[in-house]
Order: sequence, then C-alpha cells, then structure tokens
Amino acid sequence: MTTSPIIRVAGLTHQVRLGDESLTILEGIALEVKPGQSLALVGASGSGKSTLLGLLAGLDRATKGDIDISGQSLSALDEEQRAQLRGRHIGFVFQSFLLLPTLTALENVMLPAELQGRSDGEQRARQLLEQVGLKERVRHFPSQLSGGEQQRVAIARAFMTQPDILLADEPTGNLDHHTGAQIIELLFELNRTHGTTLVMVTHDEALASRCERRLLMTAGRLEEQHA
Amino acid sequence: MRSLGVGLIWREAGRGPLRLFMLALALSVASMLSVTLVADRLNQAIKVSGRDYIAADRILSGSRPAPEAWLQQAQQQGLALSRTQAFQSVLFAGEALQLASVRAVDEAFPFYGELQLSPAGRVRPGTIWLSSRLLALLQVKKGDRIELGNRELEVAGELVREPDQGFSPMLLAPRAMIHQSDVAATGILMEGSRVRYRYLFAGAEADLQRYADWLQPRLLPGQRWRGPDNADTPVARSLVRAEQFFRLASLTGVLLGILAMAIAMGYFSRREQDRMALLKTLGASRRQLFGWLSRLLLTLLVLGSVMGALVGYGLHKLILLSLGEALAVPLPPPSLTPFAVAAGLALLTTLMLSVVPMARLLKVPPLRVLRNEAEARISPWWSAGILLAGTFVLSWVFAGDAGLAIGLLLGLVALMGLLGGLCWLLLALARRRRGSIAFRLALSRLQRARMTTLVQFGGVALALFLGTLLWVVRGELVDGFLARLPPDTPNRFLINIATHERDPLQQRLDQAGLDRSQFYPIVRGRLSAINDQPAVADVDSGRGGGLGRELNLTYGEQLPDGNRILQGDWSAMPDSVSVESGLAERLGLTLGDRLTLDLAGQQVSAEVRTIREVDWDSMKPNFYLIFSPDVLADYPATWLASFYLPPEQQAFDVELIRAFPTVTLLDVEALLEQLRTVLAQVGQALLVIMLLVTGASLLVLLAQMETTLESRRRELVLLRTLGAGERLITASLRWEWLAAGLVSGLAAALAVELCVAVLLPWWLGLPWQPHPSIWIGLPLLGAGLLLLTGRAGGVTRGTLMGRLRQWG
Repeated sequence: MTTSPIIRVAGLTHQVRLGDESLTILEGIALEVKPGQSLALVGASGSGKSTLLGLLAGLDRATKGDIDISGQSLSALDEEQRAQLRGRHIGFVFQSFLLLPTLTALENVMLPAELQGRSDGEQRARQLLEQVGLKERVRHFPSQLSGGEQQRVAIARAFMTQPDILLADEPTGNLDHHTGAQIIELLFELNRTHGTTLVMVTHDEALASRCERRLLMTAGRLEEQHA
Repeated sequence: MRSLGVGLIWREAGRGPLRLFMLALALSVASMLSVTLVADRLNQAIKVSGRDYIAADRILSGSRPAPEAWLQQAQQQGLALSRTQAFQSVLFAGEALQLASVRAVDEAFPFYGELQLSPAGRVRPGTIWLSSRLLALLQVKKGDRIELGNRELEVAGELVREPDQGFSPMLLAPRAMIHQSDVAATGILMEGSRVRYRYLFAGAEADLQRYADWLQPRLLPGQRWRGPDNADTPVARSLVRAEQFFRLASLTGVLLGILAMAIAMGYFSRREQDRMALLKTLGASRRQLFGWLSRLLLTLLVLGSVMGALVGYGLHKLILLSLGEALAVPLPPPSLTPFAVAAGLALLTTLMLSVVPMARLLKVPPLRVLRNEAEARISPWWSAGILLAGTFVLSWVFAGDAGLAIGLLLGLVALMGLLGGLCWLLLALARRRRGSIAFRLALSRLQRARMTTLVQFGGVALALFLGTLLWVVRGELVDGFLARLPPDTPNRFLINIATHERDPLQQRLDQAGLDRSQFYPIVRGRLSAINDQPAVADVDSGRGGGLGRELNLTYGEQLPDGNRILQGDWSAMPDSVSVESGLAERLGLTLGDRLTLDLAGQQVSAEVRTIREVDWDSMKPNFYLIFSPDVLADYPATWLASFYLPPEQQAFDVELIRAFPTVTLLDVEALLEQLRTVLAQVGQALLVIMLLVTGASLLVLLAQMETTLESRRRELVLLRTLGAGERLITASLRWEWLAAGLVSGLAAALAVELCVAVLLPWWLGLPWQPHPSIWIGLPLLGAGLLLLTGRAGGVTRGTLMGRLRQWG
C-alpha cells in the first residue's frame, strides 16, 4: 500500500518585483514528500531555499503552481485559513530561535496551543521541555538561556501542536558545533517518536547527511541528490 | 488564551515605548483636564468681577429716561430692576457751596458688588452720603444738614466706594448719593437738564436674553444696552489673558503629548512586526491578534486616562491655590464636563495614533520570520494625514478658533520644512569637510536615513519650539506686564486743576521731589460730525465708549509716553487730531478724515493726521483724541497730571488738598496693588502649567531617544566588533547628538521668533521685540539635552558580549 504524500508541490514558480524588474526566485519546482520522511534542502545562499520553505508553510503565496499540504491546496486558502492550517499541521524552527522575550520558556512552548484556544497545554509543554532537557528552566526567560537552550525551547514549541510537518530553517546555523550536534540529535529523536515529516534548510553537512532525502537548490531549480 | 494574553499585555505595557505612550497620554489628559477645570473657574471669576463692575447683569443707560413700558416689560419677564440717575448740582452747607456729582439710587441698588458706606448703612429717603472730599470741602459731618435744590437732606456719612464707579481719573466733581424718591422734591431736574439715566437689571440668563432680544430693536440713539462682557477692568483683562494663555499652554502640552505618543506608537509598531509575524507563523489568526492589540490599547487608554485625570485634578487644585485672591469668588464644585472632554481626548488621540500602526501590524506578512525586510506597506501619508487632521480638529475644538488651529498646523508643517532645509544644508556642508573619523561616522549615520533623521530632528525641534514659545509668551505676559507697572507707576491723579493753579501745583510737586507726568490740558467735547456727516451717537461699544458722551480732549505738541504712532506723521501739526487706534477702528476713521467736535455749543474741527496705539494698562493718563494746540488752545481748559507718591510721604496728600482745595486728588494705590497681586499670582499659576509642558517636551526627547537607541546599539556594537575603540564610539555619538541638537535648536529658535512676532500682537495684543537669548540658548539647550539623555540611555554601557546577546 502506498501512502499518499503529505506535501505535494507541482509546477511551482515564484517571482518577486524589485522596482521595475521581476526576479524569478523559484522555477518549475515539483516535489512530493511522504509522511515521516526527513528531507534536507541544501544550496548556496540566495538560491531560493528559504523562499520555498516559506511557501510550504503558507507564509507567502506562490506566483504560479500549487502546493498541497495534507491534501489541502494552499492556493485555495486565504491568509486566515492558512494561519489555521499552520496551527494544526506545521511546526517551525528558526535559525535565530525567535522566542518571545517577554514570555518564559514554558509560556513560549504553550503559545501555539493557546493560539488554538486550547487551555490544556501546560502539562504537555512541561513534558516537552523535559524531553528537550530543560525541566529545570521552565520559568526562565529567553535572555536567561544560552543559544542552545533557546533552540531547545523553540523545538519544544514546534512539537507542541503535534504537527504533521516540521519545517526548520537552518536550525543549527547560530550554534557552535557541539551544541548543534545536540540539537540535531534532539530533532531526529523527536521526529522519530512523533512520526513527524521533517523538511529543513541547512548548510550543515552533518545535518543534511542525517536526512533520508537531500535536495539541492540551484538558482531556483530543485534537484534530488542521492547520497 | 486569556491568562497568557493578559500576561503578555502586562509585560508589554511595562516596556519602553508603551510605557512612554501611556505616560504621554496621561500627560495630555492631565494638561487638558487641569486647564479646562481652571479655565472654567477663571471664566466664572471674570464673569463675577465683570458683574460686580457694573453692579448688575445688564444695564441700560442713556441721556433720557427709558419709557415706563420698557421697564414694566422687564419686570414682567422676571427681571429685577434698579433705577439710578446721575447729574451735577451745587450743594449748600451754610456759607459753603460745592459742585458735586450726585447719584440717586433706589433700595435695590446694587445687585452685585459692594456699596461701601461709613458708617455702614443704606441710602434712605431724606439722607445724603458724601465722599470724603465733599465732607472736607463743605466742612460738614454726619448729622449736619445740607441743601440740594429745594430739598434739605441729612448727612448720613461717608460714601466710600460705589461698585460701578469704575476707574476714571476724569470724574469731574466729587461724589454724593441720595435716594431716588428725593429727586423730584429737589426740583433741580428740568427739561434740558443734563442727566445720565442708568437702569440696572438682574435675573436668569435666559430671561435677560429674551428681554435683550425684545429691547434692542427699540433702543434710541444715545441709549446703550450692555452686559458684564463689555466691562473691562485691568484685572478682568489680565484674567482673560491668563485664561487664553492657559489654553495655549495646555494645547501645547496636548500637542507635545501627542507627538511623544506618535513617536512611541510608531516605534512600538515597528518593533512589534517581528512578533506579529511569528505569532502568525505559529497559527494566530488576525482576529486573535486584533483582540490582543485592542486589549493592550484599552489597558493603556484606561491606565493613562486615570493617571492623567488624577494628576490633572491635582494640578488644577495647585493652580487654583496659586491663583489665590485673583479668584476672589467662592467656586462651585467642578462639573463633570471637563472630565468627559478629557476622556474623549484620550480616546480620540489613542484611536487617531493607533489606527495606522495597528493596521500595519495586522497586515504584517508572516514571511517576515524568514525575510526581515518583508513589511506591510501602508503609505506614510496615511499616518501623516490622520495625524494632521486629528490635530487640527483637536486644536480647533480646544482653542475654539479655526484660525489659530490652522496657524498652529501650518507653523508645524513649516517647521518641518525648515528643519528639512537646515538638515540638508548641514549635511551638504559637512560632506565637503574633512573631519575626524568619529565626526564622519556621525554624519554618515545622520545621512544614511535622511527621512528618519528629519523626523528625529523634527521631534526634538518641535519639543524645543513649543516649550520655548510658551516660556517666551509667559514672560511677555507676566514680566512684560509687570514691567509696565514699575514701583514708581503713578499712584495719584490730580484732576480739575484750574489754569491759574497749574504752575503753583507744578512747583509744589517739584519741590517735594516727586516723579510727575506732564500737565495735560482737558477740554470737554462731544464728537458731532465725521467728514461733515452727523456722527451717529450709539456706535460706541467696548473700552470706555467714545461717542454719545463727552470726551476728554487734550492738545499738545508732545506725544505722551506709552503712545505709539501706527499711521501718519505726528509732526504734521496745524489743524490736526490724533486718534486712538481702537476708536479709529470702531468709527472707521482713516487718515485725512475731518472730525467736528461740539464744545458746549461751539464747533471746532481738525483733520485726522495720525492713528495712535495706546497702552490702556499703563495706568497713565490716556486720551482718545489729541489735537494740535492751534485747534483747542483758545477754549477754557482744566488740567490733569499724575505723580508717584512714595509710601513714606503719605502726609503730602493732606497738605496738597489743603493748599489746593478745588483740585481733585485720586488715590489709585489700592487698585495698583490689586493689579500687581493678581499678576504675580497669575504668573505663579502659569509656572505650574509650564512645568507640565516642560515635562511633555522632555517626554518627546525621551521617546525620540528610545526609538533610535536600538538601531544605534546595533550599529555601535558592530563598530566595536570591527575594532573601534570605546573612545571613538563615544566621540562619534557626541558629534551626532551635538549636530542634531544644534540644528534642531536653531530651527526651533527661528520658528519661535517668527511665531512670537505673529502671535503676540495678534492674539494677546502685545508688541513684539526680538529675543536674542533664545538664538543662543536653544541650540545649546538642544545639544545639551540630547547629550544628557543620550548618556542616560546607556548606549555605550555594559560589556560587548552582553550587548551582543541583548539583540541576538
């Protein structure tokens, strides 16, 4: 039995206007990702990796082409509906962590659940923080945490809503080698236990090599590489 | 959601820009509320003082009796009525006789103010009250009998003061007061007698208005209907000015508050974009975000308003306390209206300032989490437009004067333009200059974001401008005014001086070493024709009138002190008359018009050669019409002079009265003292509001600093990382602040000078003079303040590592 893909991208082209010129960032992207797969997007800076990631998350609308997430076409949704979809299906991890500085670690992790109107989040958030090894730091604010610890909080936050898909934008980019390695371990471990699909943009060879698939982005075109 | 949302709001509210926003809101509310409350009370005080001044709510005066039907109509409409009449007559006491100005009143007189009689009593039929001069001249005392026409009256005591006697050094004869019912018995009033009838009315405002509407179309030439609004005592005038100033000050406070709020809100929305994008990425809907932001704003609004209301109420108490005796009226408790108005202001400004930033925040593309340059695009013209329109409406509502509101806004826009020009010039000049690296770095920062720089400079300059404008106006208002009432301001007037007494009197004053004015000849006359057209007698209104009654005319070759020629040439002498500007305006006189005057039946005429501005508050002899000597010198005149009598020479009064019994000596010391006290108190009260405005200016500076602090930090940390020394960074920052402060200060000084030159004469009726001190002071102050707040902002504080982590 073949499972249907959780992400399906077809004929995706994205252009942005820069003054009078129109610049093509992505061209003719096609991609299918099965549930539970892990996938690394690699490529030079400015090749369009992050743009693709943003489009997959519905943060922006593609100029042409279509993206299906869990069988739902993104182009059919307005911004509000896309936000809802993100809340239910997609978790995010960023290079610069993007924690809210005024919230404690625990509150940061609870935030996505609360945005969905769920008030039962605290228990789960504590569990997740324990899983990422921050049991003792739940009451701390981001500024009181190291970079690695902040990223762990961000990862816990990403898993808070039990997303089908985890999108990560250079999750180790701001971390030293050792801490980065710990974060990678954590990501893959959670990915395994939760059965989450993982799509990440990275420059980190160690990280890319851990993924099942590896796609190279060159000047807006995507090409599957086989390790 | 609730717990987290509220927690987030609270934590956010405690942070920089929102705290500033709330403070600025509180300040605006306090500024508006305190002044509205005070203005309320000042108005009441002015009204009361004006009412006291005419002893009634309205008066009808004229040279003939009012028809009985009119008076019945008034009583039918529920108005209380008091009849008085005044005439001149001779009083006989045995051998002594004296011309007196007699006033007949009834029991109802006066409705307001105090009729001071000594011993305390009432004006009853068969009695007469005499002024101290009359008592002295007739050599009578209480209980003596004197004759007025055919009637013998008993002296009841001394007439000390009539509430509506006014301040007129021109009163010809000493005063006496009798009861209305005795007038007929004296038999002295016959057809053609010169009598002034004055009917006093008191009642509810609506009834008065209804009666006025009925009466006014029926008035005959020479009859005049007026209310307390027209009454102008020097004290009332200074209270009116104080009230205007309070309004200007509080409007300034509100505008500065709005400016600080706008800066803080703009900064907040810029900074908050990242968070909004992140929340959207995490699945927050627009409605959720809107809910959050609205609750945040509501919290700020409520907290700011409550804080402002408390502070405003306290300040209004403080202002009233400093006003002290100037408000010699028991005040009713404040009404709720000012509170409602202040709440409305808070709501309106918050909405006005937040609508665009909030829309921008809600529109932030979530893509911003990946691409920092992604922004919601809302044209800055929207914010500018809403801000300008809102400010205009506020100024209009507040100043009650569209002209002033437009002037203020145009001034602000012009100031921004001016700043743009100056900025550009400075940067262009500096670009050519080679300086230290610190200097060039500073300029590069100013140069890179020209629009941002302009807005920054603008905020600082605006704060300096508005704050200084107010200090200057306050100085003009209080100090300038007090300066015109120096300690040696004439406190005695000598009138009714016969020509043969003039020289001896002059010698007497000079021997005593007293500071005296020149002696002015006085000829009484009535304006009868303008350019051979008979003058209509009831044109007069406002200050002291001008037509329909006898005027004190004078002549001379010298322009009296405190008079300023507005038009024409003073030295164009023969056949000339100089007209006071207010009278000229009321009668529509221009240079070259020919005035004809009736001097007790004889006609004289002269051409209008100059129009003069007279300082009515100077407490010096002032005249509506001054002729060249050739016109009036041949007519019988009395003389008038004023002098200053120091307190230690009080005995001189008595000496003078004995030596010149027919000359009238008026003591205006008490009036001067009252005026000085009121002015000093007003000055003190103004200080309170000035503190508020200065606080608002500082808030603008702080808000401005706060918004630029973060980007500065990043840049400086970067410089530091690249190996720049702490010293270089500090020096570079100083250059930047110095440049910004100097340019803003200079622009503000220019704007203040322009504004004062326009505002003072037009709004407050004060003459303009240059203020060199602000040209030096403001740039220095601007630079100093920026250097100081910049240091306090701690841009260079802490370790490099710590600073790097702060914005990691």
